[in-house]
Amino acid sequence: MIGDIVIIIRDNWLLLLIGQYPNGPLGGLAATLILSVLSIALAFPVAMLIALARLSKSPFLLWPSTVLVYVARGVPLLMLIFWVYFVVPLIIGTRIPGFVTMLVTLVLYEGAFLSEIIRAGIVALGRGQMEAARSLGHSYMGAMAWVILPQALYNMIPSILSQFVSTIKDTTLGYVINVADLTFAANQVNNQLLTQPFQVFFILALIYFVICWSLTRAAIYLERRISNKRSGRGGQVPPAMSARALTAEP
Amino acid sequence: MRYVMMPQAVRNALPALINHTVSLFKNSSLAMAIGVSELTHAVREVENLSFRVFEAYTIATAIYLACSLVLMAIGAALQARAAQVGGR
Repeated sequence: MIGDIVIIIRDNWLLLLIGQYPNGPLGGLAATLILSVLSIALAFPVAMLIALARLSKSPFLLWPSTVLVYVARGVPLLMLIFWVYFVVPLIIGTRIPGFVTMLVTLVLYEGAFLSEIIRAGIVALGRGQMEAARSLGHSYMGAMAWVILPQALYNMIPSILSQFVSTIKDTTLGYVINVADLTFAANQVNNQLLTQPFQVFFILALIYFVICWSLTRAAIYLERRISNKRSGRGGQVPPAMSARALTAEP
Repeated sequence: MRYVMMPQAVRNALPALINHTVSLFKNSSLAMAIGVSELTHAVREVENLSFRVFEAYTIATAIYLACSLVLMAIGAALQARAAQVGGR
C-alpha cells in the first residue's frame, strides 16, 4: 500500500504539482495555491469596503451591504459557483474561463466572511478608541485609517489566516466546473490508474492536510503571541476570541 | 457539572454552534457531487429538463436562503434568551 503510494507520487508528481502546465492550463497544487492567494488578496479590499459600509449609519450603505453579507452567508458556495458559471455568461454574452469564474465566486464569498471578521475586529476594539481619536481632531475616516484599523487588523491576523485555510479547502469546489486545481489533477491520476482510488485520494487528502494543518498551527501561534502582547498592554480583552466566534466556516 | 458548568458552557458555545449548523446545512449541497438527490441535484435536473437556468437557480437560492435565515434567526433568538438568563 505504501509502495503503491510512492509509485503513484513518483509517476505523477509533476501533474499534481502544476497540472499540464506547458501544454495546457496551469493546474494542480500551484493552481490551488494561486487561486486561494489571489482570491483572499482581492477579497480583502472588498471586505474592507463592506465592513465599513456595514458600520456606517447611512441606510444606502448599510442595507445593500447587509443584504450582500446575509446572502453570501446563507447560500451554499456551490450554488454561488453555479450562479457565476451559468448566469454571468448569459448577462455579459461571452464565456469566461473556469479559473476566473472560481476567482469571482471566491472573492464574493470570502469577501462576505472576511467583512464579518473585520467588522467583529473593529467592534471588539470598543468605542473608546474611536471617541478618543475623534476628540483629538481626526475625521471619522481618518480615525478609522490611523487609529482603529491598525489595531483591529493586527488583532484579526489569526482569523484571517484561518479564513485563508477555509479558502484553500473551498477551491476544491472548482472541481464541479472543471477548474484544473489539485483535486482535478488527482481525479485525472485516478482515471488513468482506475484501480487505486484509495491511494490516490489518500495522497490528495495528505497534501491538503499538510498545507492546512501548518497554516492552522501558524494561526494558533500568532493568536497566542498577539493575546500575550495585548495582555501585556493591560486591561484589554483579546479581541481575537470574539472575532473567531463569528468565523465558524469550517 | 450538570448544574454549574454545562449551562454556562452551552451559553458560551451557542453562537459558534449555530454558525456551524448553518454551514453544515450549506455543505449538504456538496452531496450532489456523489449523486445524492438533494436540493442542488434536483435543481440541476430541472435545469437540464427545462433549460430555464435563471429561474431554476433563483428558486434554489431562495429556498437555501430562507432556510439559512430561519436558522440564523432561531440562533439569534436563542442567544438573546441565553444572554437574558445568564445576565447578571
